[in-house]
Amino acid sequence: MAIFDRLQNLSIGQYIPADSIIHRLDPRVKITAFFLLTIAVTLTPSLLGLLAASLITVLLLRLSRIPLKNALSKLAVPLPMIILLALLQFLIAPRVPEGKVFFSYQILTISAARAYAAGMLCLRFITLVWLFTIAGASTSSIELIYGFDLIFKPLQKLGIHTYTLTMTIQMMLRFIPYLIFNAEKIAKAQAARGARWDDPRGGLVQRAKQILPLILPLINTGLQQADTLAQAMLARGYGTASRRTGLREYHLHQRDVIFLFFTLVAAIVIIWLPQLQALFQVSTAFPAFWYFPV
Amino acid sequence: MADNIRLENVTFAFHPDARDPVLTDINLNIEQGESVALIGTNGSGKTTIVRLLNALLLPTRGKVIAAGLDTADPRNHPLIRQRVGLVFQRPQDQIVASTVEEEIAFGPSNLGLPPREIRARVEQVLTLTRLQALRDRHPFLLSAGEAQRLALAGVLAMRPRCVIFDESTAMLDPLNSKTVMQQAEKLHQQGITTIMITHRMQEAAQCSRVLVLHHGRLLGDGAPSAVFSRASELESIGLAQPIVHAAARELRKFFPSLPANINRTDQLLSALPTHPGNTLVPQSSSPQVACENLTKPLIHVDRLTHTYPAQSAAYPPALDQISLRVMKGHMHALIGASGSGKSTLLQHLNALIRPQSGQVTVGPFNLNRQDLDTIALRRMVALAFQQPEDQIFAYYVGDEIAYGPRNLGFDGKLADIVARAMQEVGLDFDRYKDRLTSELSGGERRKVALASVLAMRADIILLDEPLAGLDPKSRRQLLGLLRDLQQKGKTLLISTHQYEGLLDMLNTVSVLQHGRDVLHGPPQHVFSQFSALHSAGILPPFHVRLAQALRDRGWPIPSAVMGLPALAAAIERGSGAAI
Repeated sequence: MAIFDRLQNLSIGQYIPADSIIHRLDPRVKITAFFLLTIAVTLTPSLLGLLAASLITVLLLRLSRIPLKNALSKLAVPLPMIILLALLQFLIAPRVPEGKVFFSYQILTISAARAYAAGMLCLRFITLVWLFTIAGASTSSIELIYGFDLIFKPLQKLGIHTYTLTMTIQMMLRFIPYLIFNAEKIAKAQAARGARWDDPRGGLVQRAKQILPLILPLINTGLQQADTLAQAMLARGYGTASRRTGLREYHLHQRDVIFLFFTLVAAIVIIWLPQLQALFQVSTAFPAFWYFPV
Repeated sequence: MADNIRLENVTFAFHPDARDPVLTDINLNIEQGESVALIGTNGSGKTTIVRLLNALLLPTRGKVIAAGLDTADPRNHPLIRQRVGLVFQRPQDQIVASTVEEEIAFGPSNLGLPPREIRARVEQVLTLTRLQALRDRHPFLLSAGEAQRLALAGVLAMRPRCVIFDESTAMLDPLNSKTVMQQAEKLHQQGITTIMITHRMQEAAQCSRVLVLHHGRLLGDGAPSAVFSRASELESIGLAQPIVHAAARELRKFFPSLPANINRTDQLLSALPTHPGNTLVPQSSSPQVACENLTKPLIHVDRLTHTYPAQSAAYPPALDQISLRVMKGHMHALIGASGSGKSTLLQHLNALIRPQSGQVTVGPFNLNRQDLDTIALRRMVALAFQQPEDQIFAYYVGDEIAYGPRNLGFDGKLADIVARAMQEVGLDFDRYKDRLTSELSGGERRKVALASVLAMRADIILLDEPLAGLDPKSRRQLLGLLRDLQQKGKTLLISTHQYEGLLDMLNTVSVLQHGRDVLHGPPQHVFSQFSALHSAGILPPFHVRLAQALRDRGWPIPSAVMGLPALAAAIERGSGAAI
């Protein structure tokens, strides 16, 4: 298969239209909520906190009515990378308190602490991937833009043209499909004049050699298109009024406030679960090393 | 004088001390509600005038009043941008948002209008441009005609007093172009000023006033019948008379009763007189279908079907059981509305797309085979893409043209091959080889693209819409080049919306509709099938319609497809017979 066939198979967006509670949320609430959860999952030092986070993520996945098949397929691309990282963590990462050591040879050490760290890493990344999947699948690019616009709006009081920030995001989203199709056109134009695009032989070096002549023309045409687009935007009055409005209006509903509240609580619990346990003197059946900080 | 457009002694240069400015001493007044066409060859300064009217550029000297406001004052810019709307040539270049309705809302949002007002305008404009059903579609997934309607919709939502179409029809098929012209006409009737920039003289003739620009100076300004009567002058500056004017002038020799100001095809056809005498028995007006050539065709496509990946569900099956036979040394045209599968078919012929089902053979190559030597095939079959922008990727003209021969490996010095190809398209080797491709004008870019294909010395040349967007002069040059190539024995396969100029060169034609070949054969046969052409969204060529109209009025016109001289001769014979 020639490379331009593969380019055609890239999807334009992650959005999956559905009628779910998550889809209906106010975009600024959604962005804030997923941002909070991402922070919590990244920072939590405890396995228990991470397990709570995965549980919440699975719950959100059900609520958003994203097909399980779709969520699993989203893991396929990053999974080898996650496993590789976990393996490195498991085998060679330097670690001070080793705990129980099962096996050791030069820098290669297998210990309970390492197994635990590798497991944490896998769980953390998988949870993150799913959080992004839910956020991406339930928010159209339009909602994303409006969401950021609303979040940045308070900055206008400081005299910052916040719509330029939003427009930057919008332009980024706009250019992705165009870049793909430009790449396809350039690849075809080169192949038509004898470039060996569709040669099935050739290894990684050959592949890299193929991609290289694509990059510069791609940037070149991209810049030219950006220039024309800037003219077209100015011609339609972009930047003339001090305040930009939009087609849609968003109002916070009760469900938005409740959702944000629960997310905030969840984020606190995920990060500080062990401390909270200690605070309330709750004992668990888990052995002590489960809270081993990473 | 409320909303008029006025240019007073306007000179414009990109560098203040440039020797030859883009525009020199332009004086112009356009009253509110006029319908104006602006014509001129590539590089004559048309686009610069448009940018001045929208305050995207400011004059180096002189004064520009747009919508009654001086563009020199930045405080006027918001109102100018709202009142003077601009529709660009390539709709995909001006799309900002990721759904149709957000795209339309972009302008009103920039004006800071309240959301309710924006919503009302979006709904109104969606209805006006018949895009309601597509409101949530990604603009990227629209057809060419829909995308051009969206570009207009985005401008109309600003409630402009003046709409400028900057070569908006250049890339459209005849029916979509007609839609744009009709929409412009409707705006004109509503009292909106319309300015059409176009290379199609026939479109310019439909406006009530024509401005002629040449090397940055205004050479002509008047009613179309006045401007277009100066045939030789127009020719000398690279323009042409609209085909209707040329035909009317010729026919007036026989029919002095033809009115003086004929600007549209339908005006001419309805003014034709009936044959005075007893109607002669028309000689076989239905030409015999050429008997199938028994020699083996050079290009043979048999029941080829192609569907784009499932993810792009917006695409219909691009090719549906299509068949094609092209003989060696023949010129074959693929015609059909945009989206009918012409480009997809062409890309199959040099293995950029491999057959999903059906057979494709080109010369000795079987394109169905997995072990096809694509390099050898592409040495034999060269493809020129639809838009030169899609094809040019090198920084320097010389490198661009040398790319093909360098990859494919040819005998002889590379520089000689490049020089010869450049000479064929009329580019001077020493002057152009070290020019940056990004700094070329539209016409030059097209020549470079063509030279880079010719440099491959292929026997079969596939040309995808080579005539789109060319000014009359470049068009004449390209037609001459195609004639040369044909005489050299090359096999040419051309997909085009503009088949008028090719008629006398073509050996065979295929008409494509929804990925199927609905008609094929010699042009005499294909272009006489009026009803089949109509249902495929194809307008028969002008001379064919003229011949048919004459035949309907009893004139003995022997064959369906003939040029103006042959028609004139037939009319002369007919008049003689009547007396």
